[in-house]
Amino acid sequence: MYPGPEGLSVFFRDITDRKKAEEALLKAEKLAITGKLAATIAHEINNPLESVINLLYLARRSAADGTRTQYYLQTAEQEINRVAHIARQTLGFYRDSTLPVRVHISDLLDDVVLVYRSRLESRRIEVRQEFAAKQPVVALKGELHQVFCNLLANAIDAMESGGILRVCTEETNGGGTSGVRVVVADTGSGILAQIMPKVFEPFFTTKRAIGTGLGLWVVRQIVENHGGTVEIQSNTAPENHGTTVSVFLPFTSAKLPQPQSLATMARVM
Amino acid sequence: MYGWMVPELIEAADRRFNKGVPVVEGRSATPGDGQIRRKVLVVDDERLVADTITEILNENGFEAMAVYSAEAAIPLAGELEPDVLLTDVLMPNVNGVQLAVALTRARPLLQVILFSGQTGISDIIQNAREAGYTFDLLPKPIHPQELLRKLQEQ
Repeated sequence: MYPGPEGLSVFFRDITDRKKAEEALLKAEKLAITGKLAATIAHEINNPLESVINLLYLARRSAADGTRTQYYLQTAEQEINRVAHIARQTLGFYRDSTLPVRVHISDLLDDVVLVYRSRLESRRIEVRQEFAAKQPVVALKGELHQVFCNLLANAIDAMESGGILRVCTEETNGGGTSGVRVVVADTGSGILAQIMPKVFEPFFTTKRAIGTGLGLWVVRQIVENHGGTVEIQSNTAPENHGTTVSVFLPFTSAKLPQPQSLATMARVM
Repeated sequence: MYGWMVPELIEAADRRFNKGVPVVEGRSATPGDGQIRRKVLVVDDERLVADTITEILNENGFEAMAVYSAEAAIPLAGELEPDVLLTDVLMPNVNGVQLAVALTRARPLLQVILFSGQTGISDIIQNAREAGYTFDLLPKPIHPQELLRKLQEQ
């Protein structure tokens, strides 16, 4: 305020956009650091894990059957498998950059199926892929990779004695927003109705030995950060059991920092 | 830093494999035991990983050799003439996909299995796929039984 001879001049500047830009940039930087940290930790953990699993395997072959040593080694192997599972579900994703890119969901799903092909084959799970969506979504690729890795891991865990895994995509218009819907459907044991409300809670798990309770929680966090939604339907009836997870991702989302707007933000700041 | 294809590596692989030595593709015989043992070249800059996998494979009917870089793998591949290349993806200087491309150009029937502790390698794999090279990928850690099953299914 500047008092003048004939009155008062008051200037207001709306800095809402600038504040939003600052917050978005900080969030993007924080996510990038988190992602790189996760990638580094995953790499640093998975290599020693591989070595330890191999050493335990060799040690078990050297230990006589029925001995306490054999039992200890077998228990150690089970425990190390738990660690491996946790690393996969929580540290697997890698942020290639701070910025979203155009992602063809079908290519990304092909990659995820490739990662799990060996496990799918060993469980005798037939994979049926129907990719109708052609248009890419703007997304953080590493995070989406994590989403579908977690969903496939859950589906495989649910089909202990084989089954069918359907992975489908379609372009859709959900509630006025255009995007891609991905459906991951298994013919596994299904989720009981009474525990369905809890499946997205952190640390909730039905997999006693190997569950982290973080898989679906991570899925929802990432999808919602992309402006999308996740829905689950499940059936435990003997004649028609299985779980269907439906993920909707908008083609673009204002929740994500956009390449152009980030450049603008950098200039504003 | 190299691009996704390494011309020097491809030339080196061509020279090593183009020696005029007849090769029985897909299988190799180990003198003495009368059994067919598939030859596996294991490449990983984590020495303990490469060494333990090699030992496991040798105990399970394969003839495996370990090497700790893609550059060192080329001359050894020329000597061993492997049926299978089992290689880590992220390694210093030359990555496993670049190595796999170089070796499969020289030896088209070579079976390639990539394995990696990071899932964020899809761009490297995608580049190779777009150029017509599709390789199997296993995530680390992989249990030895699962790896053996994968190798035995061929």
